[in-house]
Amino acid sequence: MEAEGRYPLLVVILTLALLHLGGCRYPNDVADTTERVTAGTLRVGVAHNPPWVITDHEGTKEPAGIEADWVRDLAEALSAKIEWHHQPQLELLESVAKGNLDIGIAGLVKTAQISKMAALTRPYTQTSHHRSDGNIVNEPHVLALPHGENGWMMTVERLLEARPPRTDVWLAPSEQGAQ
Amino acid sequence: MNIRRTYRIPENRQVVLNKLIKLQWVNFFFRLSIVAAIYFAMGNSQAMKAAWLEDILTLGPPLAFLIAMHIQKRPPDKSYPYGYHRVNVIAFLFTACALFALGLFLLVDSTTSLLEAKPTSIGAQTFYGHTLWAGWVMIAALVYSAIPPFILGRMQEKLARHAHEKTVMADAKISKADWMTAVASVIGILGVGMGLWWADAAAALIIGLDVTRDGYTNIREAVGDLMDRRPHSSETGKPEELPALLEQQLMALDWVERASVRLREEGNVLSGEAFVEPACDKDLTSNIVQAQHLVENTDWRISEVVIMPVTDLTRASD
Repeated sequence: MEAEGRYPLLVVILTLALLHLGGCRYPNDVADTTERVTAGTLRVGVAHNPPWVITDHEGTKEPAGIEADWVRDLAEALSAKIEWHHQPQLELLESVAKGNLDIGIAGLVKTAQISKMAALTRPYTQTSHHRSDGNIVNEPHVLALPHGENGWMMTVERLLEARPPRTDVWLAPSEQGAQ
Repeated sequence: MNIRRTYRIPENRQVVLNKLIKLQWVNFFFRLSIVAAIYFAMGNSQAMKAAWLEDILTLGPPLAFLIAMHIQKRPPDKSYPYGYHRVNVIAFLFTACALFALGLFLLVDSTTSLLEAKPTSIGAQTFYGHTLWAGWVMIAALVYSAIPPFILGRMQEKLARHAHEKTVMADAKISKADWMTAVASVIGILGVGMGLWWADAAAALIIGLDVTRDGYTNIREAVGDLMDRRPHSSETGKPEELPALLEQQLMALDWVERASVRLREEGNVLSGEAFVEPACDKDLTSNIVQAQHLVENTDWRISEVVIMPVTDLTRASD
């Protein structure tokens, strides 16, 4: 076909992709997060937002809460040490997006604005609350990951599915929305 | 006022044109279904909105062709004594501009994402209890979406080549751009999965360059037709041999000393003037009528050739 002569780069990428499929992890990371974290250090960004993430202001105590507990599960599954980084939510999202942190937890609710700032997991749970105007708002809860780390994203997603965060420990039954 | 004779399309050509009209209706409704599908899927994604506007743009060419086909059937009248065939050139120019715009759109879009250098993130998706990389689902959808424009584009190109129909030929390039961008996205997603964040944009950039070039060539062609450029073959893009053939035929006549012909394209038909230097003036009028009949029956595309006797052809053709 004439396209083969005219689009050499496409053919090169396609060939590389096929060669790659044989040997390595797929999908893979741009910055090798999965490889670095496994049996290494997991850099976790935390922002206080109970009951999802509970920290003291000095950052001296181990964070607690639904998402902090789950990150300990993640670290255990990957045999990784956790390094907690305390940051306000906005800075936390920026650090995660740049890849300075491997995962950001702050009881994040998926919005268009947050979706643009960092790569988000699928919602692992959904809560709902009554607004003052009487309407019910659904809040899908997500975790933030660096852009383009698609292998890492799959690792996190698979564990989210296999061992979902324990919302029942921290949320009253009335607060738990449709899963 | 002198109004041109009505040009009668040869029957076998009308058959091909009718097929083209049917094909373009199918094409129009297919593209309309894509526009509708993306409209319901886009939500508030800016990227999807851009893709949607791009798809709306592709609705124009089949419509332009169908409208032009409708108008060109009208016989020449007092307001349009030369007839309505040039409406096809307008549809052609419109289609060429749409193709060019599509190419520019791809170029700008892919260049911005390359400059932004923000790696694409594709997450997980669950299908009947199986969690897999959403990239695979996207690739399946893209391959599926590439099949109809691939088939339609092939049919358009084959028929349009047969009928010398430039509007549909240019629209076939739009179909080609459609499926090529889908293939580029597949390659891009495969690249993203390998950790090559730029693969997506790079593939789109290459396709964008190709589409823009096609658009540019077609705009030149359409503008050329509007400016009465000499007829060019829609297959090879080279000047037609037809004027030289007509000159030979005229010069083969006993009463003609020398002949010089100029032709222009009016959409799907040709018209022009033949200047002849008569060897003798005897029976000039009836000779001219016969010559005109001869010339106009040489090729089915010729709608009218006016024969003009001159005393010195070297002055007329310079």
